[in-house]
Amino acid sequence: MGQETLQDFGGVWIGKLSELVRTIVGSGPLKFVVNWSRMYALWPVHLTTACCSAEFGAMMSPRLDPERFGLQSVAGGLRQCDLIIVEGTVTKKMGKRLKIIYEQMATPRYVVAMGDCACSGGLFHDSYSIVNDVHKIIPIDVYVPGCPPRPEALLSAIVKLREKIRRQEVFAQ
Amino acid sequence: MTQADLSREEATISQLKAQFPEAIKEAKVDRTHRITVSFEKDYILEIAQFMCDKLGFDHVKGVAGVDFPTQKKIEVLYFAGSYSKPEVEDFIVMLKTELPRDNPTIPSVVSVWQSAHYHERETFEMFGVKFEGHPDLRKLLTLDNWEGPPPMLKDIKFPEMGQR
Repeated sequence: MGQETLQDFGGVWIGKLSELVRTIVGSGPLKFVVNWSRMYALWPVHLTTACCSAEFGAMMSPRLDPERFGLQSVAGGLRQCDLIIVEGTVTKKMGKRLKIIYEQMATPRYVVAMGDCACSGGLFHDSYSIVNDVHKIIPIDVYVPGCPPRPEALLSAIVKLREKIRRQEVFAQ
Repeated sequence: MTQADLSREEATISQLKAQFPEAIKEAKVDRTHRITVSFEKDYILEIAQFMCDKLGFDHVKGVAGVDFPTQKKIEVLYFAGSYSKPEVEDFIVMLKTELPRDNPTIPSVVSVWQSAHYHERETFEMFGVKFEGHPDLRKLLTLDNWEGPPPMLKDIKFPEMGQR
């Protein structure tokens, strides 16, 4: 009887404490620090679905230097990455794998749909083997239209994504 | 610009025509390093064996299908090349044959050219061409639970994808 009372007593206070920590971290300068570190450490998954990856390669080159925005190609594992750039057409077979990859990544995770095919089907819109709506498989943060988009367009999408991360809540709802 | 030397191409055509006078329907030089040979489909194994043994074309670079729905035929194309004979290693022979559209069957050339294995599986899957004697004629590229018709035929429509 007495133990139960103690547990209830402690549980209430631990809950209130965690609420307090969430309030402190999720607002003010700590929120700025957390979001700042998130937006300067975007690691893309090495996932190539189609030909837009050539433009992705051009974007990662020293000419545009995306590393100044924190986007670096590291040979890390899937579980350390937090950005998927869907580079082009997604077939139905690849869509299944894309969902598996997305679910293996740790939160927070972001998705950029690159090219007309990833946005809406594009050139292969009525084909029998193509996923037209990638946003029905995984949620997409930024769309980059173009066939293929210029490397500058992709870099501008990364900048927009950083802006989105800067303004987001620390703890996802 | 000098005239291109086509003697090697014409020599190959005359060798094939001399060996199979009744099988070869038409043979022409497309350009340097490239000839097209149309033949009757029943002679495919003999022609393949002859080209492999005597002319040095030891592999196929691809097997393709072309659908002609108005003419009721499916064309099957073999692109034969060579690795072993240095004189013809930059040379591609396109073998072309016609099959009826309602029942496209042709003997498989895997026993002669082993590199045709996956190409024939793909042609079987996309065009419904049955290769008789193929060791493992299964579907290759489409979805795992795919049960539809051969998708590359011109008159196959997928209304759920918005095709009309």
